[in-house]
Amino acid sequence: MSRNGCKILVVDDDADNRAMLSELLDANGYLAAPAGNGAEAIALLEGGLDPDLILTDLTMPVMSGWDLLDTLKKAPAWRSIPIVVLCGMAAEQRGKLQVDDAFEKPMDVSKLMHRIAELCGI
Amino acid sequence: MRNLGLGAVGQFALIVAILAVGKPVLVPIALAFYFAFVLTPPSDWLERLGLPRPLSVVSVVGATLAIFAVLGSVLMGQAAELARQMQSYSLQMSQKLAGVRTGSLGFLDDLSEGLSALSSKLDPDSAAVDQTTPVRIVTGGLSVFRRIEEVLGPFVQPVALVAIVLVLTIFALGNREDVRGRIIQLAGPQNITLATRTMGEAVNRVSHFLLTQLYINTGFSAVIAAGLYLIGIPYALLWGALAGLLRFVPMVGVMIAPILPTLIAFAIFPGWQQALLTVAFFLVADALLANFIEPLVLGKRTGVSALALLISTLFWTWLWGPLGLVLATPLTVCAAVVGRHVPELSFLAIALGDDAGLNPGTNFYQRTLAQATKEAQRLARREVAETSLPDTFDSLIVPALGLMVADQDLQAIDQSAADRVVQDMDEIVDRLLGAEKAPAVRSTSAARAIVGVPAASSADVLLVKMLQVTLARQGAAMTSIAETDRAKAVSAVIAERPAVICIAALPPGGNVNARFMCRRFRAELADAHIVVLLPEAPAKRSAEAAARLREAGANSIVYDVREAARVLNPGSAPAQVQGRAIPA
Repeated sequence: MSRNGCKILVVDDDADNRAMLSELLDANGYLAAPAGNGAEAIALLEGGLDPDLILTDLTMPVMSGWDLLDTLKKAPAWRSIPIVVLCGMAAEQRGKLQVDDAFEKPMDVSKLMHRIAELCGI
Repeated sequence: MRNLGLGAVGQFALIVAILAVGKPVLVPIALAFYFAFVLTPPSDWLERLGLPRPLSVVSVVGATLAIFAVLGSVLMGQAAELARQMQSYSLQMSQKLAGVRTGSLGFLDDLSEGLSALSSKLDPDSAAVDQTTPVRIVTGGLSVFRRIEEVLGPFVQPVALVAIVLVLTIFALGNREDVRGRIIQLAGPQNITLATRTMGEAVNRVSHFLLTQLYINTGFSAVIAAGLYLIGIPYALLWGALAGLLRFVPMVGVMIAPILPTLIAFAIFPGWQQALLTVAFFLVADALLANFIEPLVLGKRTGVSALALLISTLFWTWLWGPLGLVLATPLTVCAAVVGRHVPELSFLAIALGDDAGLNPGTNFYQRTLAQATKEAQRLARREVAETSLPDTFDSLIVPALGLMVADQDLQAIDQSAADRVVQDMDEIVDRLLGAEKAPAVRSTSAARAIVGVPAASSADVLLVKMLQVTLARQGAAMTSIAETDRAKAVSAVIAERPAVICIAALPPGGNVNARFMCRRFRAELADAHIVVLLPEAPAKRSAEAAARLREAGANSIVYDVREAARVLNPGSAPAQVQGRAIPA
């Protein structure tokens, strides 16, 4: 698969999930940057990572997905980055999240990839 | 600077105390370096002609002493003659003053005498004191040593000072590389580059200033001497030399120089004409020198602000007396240079330097942030008058937007404050435009239709507006999309089907949306020329960010509004550089 130039920040405390998502993204032409929790994600962003999208879990140790969302929305430099949440909550609860989209685990991979492409402008 | 636990005030007090206590040692050293600064260029010149170092130093110092001796003997002769004549001048002056009193000012004497009489009646003791006979107490005969001390005492200190300064100057001149090396070593091996750069600039600035000032003041001496000679003032050479010497003393010297020749003119000539002519001549000569010749020859002068120099002159005079007055300028220049290169002492550069406190963009942002909109507007108008409207966008408003984004990142200001700042800047742009005659905008063919779109924020909308104005001044039209929702903005642009698209994206927040838009436009409008305006100072520009935008489909990345206008409207003449005044 040819590269499309998009970088995706994958935030998940489950190493297997992170690896699976990274492989999936890589197979679809994206460059994945993995982080084990919200704090690691912020450290990567502060280090200069400029992703086209953030794919994040909500329940994580050290810094949860909720706190990560809160931090991202407060910072003008990161406010515009599209966010897709992967979580275990029902559709009506997901709708309350102020994110670009949310998928319930286990998600439909093709739908997720389609949505990521849309949010990256591909 | 290592912190001694004293706090800033304590450390400053300690430095001042060391300077005050160390005066007998520090003053000769400072004077020797002062002369070494002045004499280094001629010594270098002689060495370039092939003279060995010791000979060049001896020649330069010898020539300087010879000049001082010749000038000194001539001037001393004139001064001695003046001293002999002083009694006669004093008498003439008294007679003239008496004449003045009996004339228009006679009532002052009457008033003074009346007050004295009244005072003696009210206080008889004071009148009695006036009538007492003074008594002189005579001690026994002085010893031989006391006599020698009494006679030679006043000369010992200045002669010793001159001798020490002479020896130190010769040493500093003869071993200047060695002295420089030791100072650099003192700064430590990790600071060699910094110390070298600092010393280089200090030597250049101080040498250049002192040498140029020497030439200027010598010329001033000659002009004053010639002018006074023509007016008919006696000892014109003496007054000329004195005026030249006094010009080395910042601020005060020029005020003192005319006093004595004016008094002499007043004493020896009937009437006021020559005295007034003398004052006027000094004033005109100094004004011409200070306002026309010095700025031309000295350029940016010392790199020290006039106010800082004045305060510094007061400080050094208080600390080291008259010699401090002479050394004030070079010492202040050195302090400012050190402050410019040593981050821990940067306060010295800010306090003493002649650069404006804030650069125009920072000043404009600071005024807008403080809600001093009128003042911000005045700054913008002045910038437009000095440059042009497009230049003002790039030098004032775009940097101010960048500072605002940086403040937001630091959470120094919240979103509502940022929105207000952008709104105020937008209004200022409107007012600048309102004051201008709208340029004629030619209709752009559909094949060359240009659309400007903001990447993310209201600041990006303002960028698009400024670009539109700049293009309009070139006679080109651009459709602007004032939509901050990226999906809606993309749809609006695609609906226009333009040939050229400009995405305005204030970094870093605008980058991600700019890439998104580039991909969307490239997918929908394959032939469109996509330009991304990414306003960023040269030092902050990211090659990676530009490469990713190009990968996403951008054809050109530009970093300021004027450059964007040139790329979007390549057939146009370069944007107007010369500014014109916008009425207030």
